[in-house]
Amino acid sequence: MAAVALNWWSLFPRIVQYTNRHIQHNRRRSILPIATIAAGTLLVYAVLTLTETVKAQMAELSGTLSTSTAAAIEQSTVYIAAITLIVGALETAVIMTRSVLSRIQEVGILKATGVGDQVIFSLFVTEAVLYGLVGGIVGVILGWLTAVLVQLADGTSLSSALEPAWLNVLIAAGLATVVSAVAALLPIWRIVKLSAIQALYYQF
Amino acid sequence: MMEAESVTEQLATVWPVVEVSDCWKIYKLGSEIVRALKGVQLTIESGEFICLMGPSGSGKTTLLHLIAGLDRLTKGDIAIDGISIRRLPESQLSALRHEKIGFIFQSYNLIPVLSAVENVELPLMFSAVNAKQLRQRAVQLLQKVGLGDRLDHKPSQLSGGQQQRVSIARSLIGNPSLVVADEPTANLDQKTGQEILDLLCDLNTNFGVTILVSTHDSKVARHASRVIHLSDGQIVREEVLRAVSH
Repeated sequence: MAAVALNWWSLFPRIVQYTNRHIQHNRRRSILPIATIAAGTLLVYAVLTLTETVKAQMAELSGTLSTSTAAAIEQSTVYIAAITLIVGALETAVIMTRSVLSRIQEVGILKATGVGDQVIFSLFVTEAVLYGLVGGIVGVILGWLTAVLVQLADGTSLSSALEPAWLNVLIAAGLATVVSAVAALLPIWRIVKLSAIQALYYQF
Repeated sequence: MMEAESVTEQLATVWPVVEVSDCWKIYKLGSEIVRALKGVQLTIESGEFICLMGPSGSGKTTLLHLIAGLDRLTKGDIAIDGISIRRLPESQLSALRHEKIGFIFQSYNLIPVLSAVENVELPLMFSAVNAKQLRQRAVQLLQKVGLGDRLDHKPSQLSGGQQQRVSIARSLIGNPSLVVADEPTANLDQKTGQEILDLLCDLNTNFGVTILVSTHDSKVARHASRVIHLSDGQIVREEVLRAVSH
C-alpha cells in the first residue's frame, strides 16, 4: 500500500466527501457560519442596491439640488456601503476562526495519522469556501426578497425590483466566498503549523 | 501487500525498527524547565513486543511521541528503519508516520463524524490508494479486531473497548513496521483491557507486528518480550522475558 501523494484534482472528491460527513453529522454547527455569512451578504446586497437607487434619484433631482449637496449625499452612501462590507467581512472572519479552532483536536488526529499538511489545509479551505458559497447565495436571495417586499410596501412599480441587479448579486456572493476563505486561511495556517502533539493537546 | 511485507523484512534485516540514541527532550512549562528525557538509548528489533514501564511523569509518553514522530526531540537522534527523523522536514515526517508507524492513543482519538470503517481508512484516505482496495482492507482489519458487524457505526455508538479496537485497526492500515500504543488499556475496565492486550499479542505473535506499548500496569508487562523501566527521564532497568526470533 504505497502512499503516494495525490494531485489536487483526484484528491478533491475525497475532500468533498470528508467535508460532507462533517456537515451531515453536525448540521447545527454549520448553520451559524452560513447564517452569519448570509446576513453579511444580505447587508452588502441591500446597501449596493440602495446606493444605486440613491444615485438614480440624485440624477432626477439634479436640477433642483446644488451639485455639492448631490455629491455629498452620494459620497455618504458609498461610505455606508464600505463600512457594511468591512463589518460583514470581520463578522465572517470571527465565525470562521471559531469554526476552525473548535476542530483543533481533529487536526491533531489527522496529523498524527500521517495526513499531510496540504491535505489538512485543503479540507478546511474547502469547507470555508462551501460555507461562503451557500451563505452568499442565501444572503443574495434574502436581499432580493427584501427589495421586492420594500417595493410592495412602497406601492411603487414592482418591475425594477423583480429583476435582481446581477452585478450586485455577483459582488455580494463572490465577496462572501472570498472573505470566508481568506478569513479561514489565517487560523488554519496557524494550526497546521503546530506539531501533532501541540494540536492534540492544545490549551486555549 | 505481500510485496510490501517482503520489503519490510529486507529492511529489518539491515536496520533495527527503532534506534534511539542519546535522546533528550527539554521543554518549558511556564517558567519551569522540564527535562523529560535525559539521554535515552534504546534499540527495538523487528518482531519485539516492548513494554515501557514507569510512574507518571517518568517520560514514557514523551518517548513514545518522539519515536512515533509526533514531536521533535531536543538533542540526540531517532532512526526508524534506518531513517533518521531528527532533521526530517514535516512533510516527510508525516509520510513516514503513515508508511511505517501506527499510533494507538490512550483516549482512542477517533474522528467523531466518520464511521468505524472510514476511521480505519483515515491514514490513507487522501493518498493514491485505490478507494475500493482501501475499503476492502479496512473491512478486513475491522474483522480481524472483531468488529466486522460494526463497520458503519460512529465512534459515539461504540463502547470504549470497541473504539480502541477501531483505533488498533487504524494503526494497522498502512502495514506499519511498528505499532506504538500509549497506555492503550488505561481507560478500559479490566476485562476489556485484557481483550485489547490479547489482540496486541495476537498481532505480535501471529502477524509479526513490532509493538511498543507504555503502561504502569504490571499485568500488561507480562505479555511483553522485553520490559524497559523508565524513571525520571532515564532507562533504569531492562528485563528480557522471552527471546524473539527475527
